[in-house]
Amino acid sequence: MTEFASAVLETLCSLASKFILIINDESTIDFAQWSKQSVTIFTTAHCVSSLENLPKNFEIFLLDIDNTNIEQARFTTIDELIGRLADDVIEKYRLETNEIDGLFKTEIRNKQINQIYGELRQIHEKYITKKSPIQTSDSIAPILIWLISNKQPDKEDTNYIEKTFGKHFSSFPICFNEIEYQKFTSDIFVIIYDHCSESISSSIRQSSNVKHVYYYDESKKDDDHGIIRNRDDLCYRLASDLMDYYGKLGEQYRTNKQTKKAREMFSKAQELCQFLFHFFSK
Amino acid sequence: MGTIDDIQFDTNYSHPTFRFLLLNNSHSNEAGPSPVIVLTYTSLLTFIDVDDDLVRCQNYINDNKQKIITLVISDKKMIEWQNNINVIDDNIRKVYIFCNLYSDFLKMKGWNGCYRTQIQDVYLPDTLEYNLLRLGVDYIYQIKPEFKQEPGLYRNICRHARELLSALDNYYQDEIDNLDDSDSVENL
Repeated sequence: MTEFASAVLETLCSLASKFILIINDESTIDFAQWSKQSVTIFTTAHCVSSLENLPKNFEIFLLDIDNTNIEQARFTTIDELIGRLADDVIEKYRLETNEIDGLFKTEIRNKQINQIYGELRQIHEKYITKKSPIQTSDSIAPILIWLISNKQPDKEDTNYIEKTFGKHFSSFPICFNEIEYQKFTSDIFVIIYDHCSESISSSIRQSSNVKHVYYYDESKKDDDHGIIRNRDDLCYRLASDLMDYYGKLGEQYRTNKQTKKAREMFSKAQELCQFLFHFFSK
Repeated sequence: MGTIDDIQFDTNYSHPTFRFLLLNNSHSNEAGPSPVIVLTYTSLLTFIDVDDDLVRCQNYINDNKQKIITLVISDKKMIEWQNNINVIDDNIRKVYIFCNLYSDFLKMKGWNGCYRTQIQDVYLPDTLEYNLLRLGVDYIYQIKPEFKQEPGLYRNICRHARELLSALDNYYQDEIDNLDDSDSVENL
């Protein structure tokens, strides 16, 4: 099994143990006992050949790397097979939700389903994209970097941004090149002030701790949509992206059952959400 | 409570240069369970032009090169698009994919087909509505300057943005209220 597949399986077993039965030795199991239930079997091509006389209501998913068997639904990687298993478990939860009367129970079930989605998303980030946003240190506020080539940013701009977002960023350093910003290990939002070279901006985007990159240049003409041309727009973008950033952190802490931190993050997101109202007041 | 099909498009949002389109699965030729994505705020998602016809959507984008498109698309339609692609439309600037299933989410996260550099994010059913509300606020902020000449409409879309923000505010409040301290590992 891959690290990813075993992490998913472990999570599913801990959250939904009642739906999953892991069988290591198929000869000890009497499959006829489930002949009245809907059963899905996840197995390998090698194992399935030894399973005979399965009740008709059984659905079988196979891991079959060599593509030898053509009859059943087949998957060529263990990750795909495990993904299908996750969907099956969620579907079972959902069917159960529909069968149970009462709004309260439905809410609990939905919460459980969302918990599964949250964990699955995190496992994907950890093992596949290798971008784990949860930080281990206690200082969790991101850093806002002004990246400049030669022109110093407008003092009024930097002061205004620091005053507005003082609570949401831990610091506001000015950097001249990528070597300087690479020393920061926490999450980073970058404002590229006046024009930096293409090579710098593409290398920035590749760093896993760089969350957002903005091009800020008041002198640019209207025709380029990627460039932010006034301070108001810059503030809007920062506030909106920070709101989502803290909302995501909240979700991740909630999934990891770190309730206090989750509450703190959701409150920050909510605060930024309320801040956004004034952009639409008149 | 509703689904994507219950979203009623407000045609005022067809005028700006920026358009917000959603290409959904067509249900007519699809057997199996009903869509799993349940939406609470369909009445607020009126800035989204929903379609389930791939060719019509492609033609619109291709015939309206001056429009800049944000496209929210289901994983199935993304694959269909890849199989029916004639031209790469460079007026599609941002693509968001939503999936009903985790196995499709894994597939789309590794998507190597058309518009892969435009893909901003891939959503599972639990976060689609939150993200639509959020993207809606950003969208209205983006198109707002184009409504400056029409005070009535301008006021309306600003009010709409505030309603979307209220919904987000409620969403965060619900998240805070639903946290269960007895569940916390921080107390251990």
